[in-house]
Amino acid sequence: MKQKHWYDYLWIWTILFFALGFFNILFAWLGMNDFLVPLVIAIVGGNKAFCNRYCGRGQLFAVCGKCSLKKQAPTWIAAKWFRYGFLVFFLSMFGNMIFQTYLVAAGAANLKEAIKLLWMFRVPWGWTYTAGTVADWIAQFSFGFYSLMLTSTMIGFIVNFLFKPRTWCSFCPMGTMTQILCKIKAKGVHDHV
Amino acid sequence: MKRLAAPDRKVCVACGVCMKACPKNAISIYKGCYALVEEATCVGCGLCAKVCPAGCIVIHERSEAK
Repeated sequence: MKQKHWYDYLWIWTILFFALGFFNILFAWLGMNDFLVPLVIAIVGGNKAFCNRYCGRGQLFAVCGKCSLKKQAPTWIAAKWFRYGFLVFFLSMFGNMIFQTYLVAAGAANLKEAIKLLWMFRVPWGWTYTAGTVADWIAQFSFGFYSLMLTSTMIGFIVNFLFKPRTWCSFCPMGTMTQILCKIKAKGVHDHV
Repeated sequence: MKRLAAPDRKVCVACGVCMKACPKNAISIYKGCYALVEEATCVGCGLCAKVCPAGCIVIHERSEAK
């Protein structure tokens, strides 16, 4: 049995993050950590320490590994075309979410107190926010970002059940993005990368 | 030690699942790019291949792996 470190329990943070979003949607902003920290680590440190050690979501998938059929996922799931394609799709959806936030900020659209699951299904989520607490765009971003986080976790749990634990990691957009950054950074020094 | 784990660097997503599973701490993630196996330490137990979500690790006979 390997020695446990403090960062081996970050899966609790992921549960807490989603739980907080059931009470107050503004907590969704805390999820920006999961976006910015891996990028900073990859750009500054040139490594994937976030995926390797600090990713609470990845750990949560591993913790839930008992509920997994543990089958090998089809090879296309880790193929470059799928990973890069999924990254582009995910970034487009992220861009769309930012655009919606901008529309609300500019007064061209109203705040929608709902989350969208799998980019399709609108779920009313109004009880987590009292209108007027903060500027509308701040709330809009919270709903949008929480939707994105919940959607990716749902997809992650589906593949976690069907295939091996942490299959999500093989096409996680953040993982793909940080690996690309690391490869760019390492290329100057090592040609074999 | 007759066997050795050999990750496919072109497929590896550098997630680090193998590194966590390795009982001999023989695997590291090389500069965030791919899993690197320390050949002298690896005992070829196959635990890494079992958990690799990308399925990119094969266990070779040592003579083949070279």
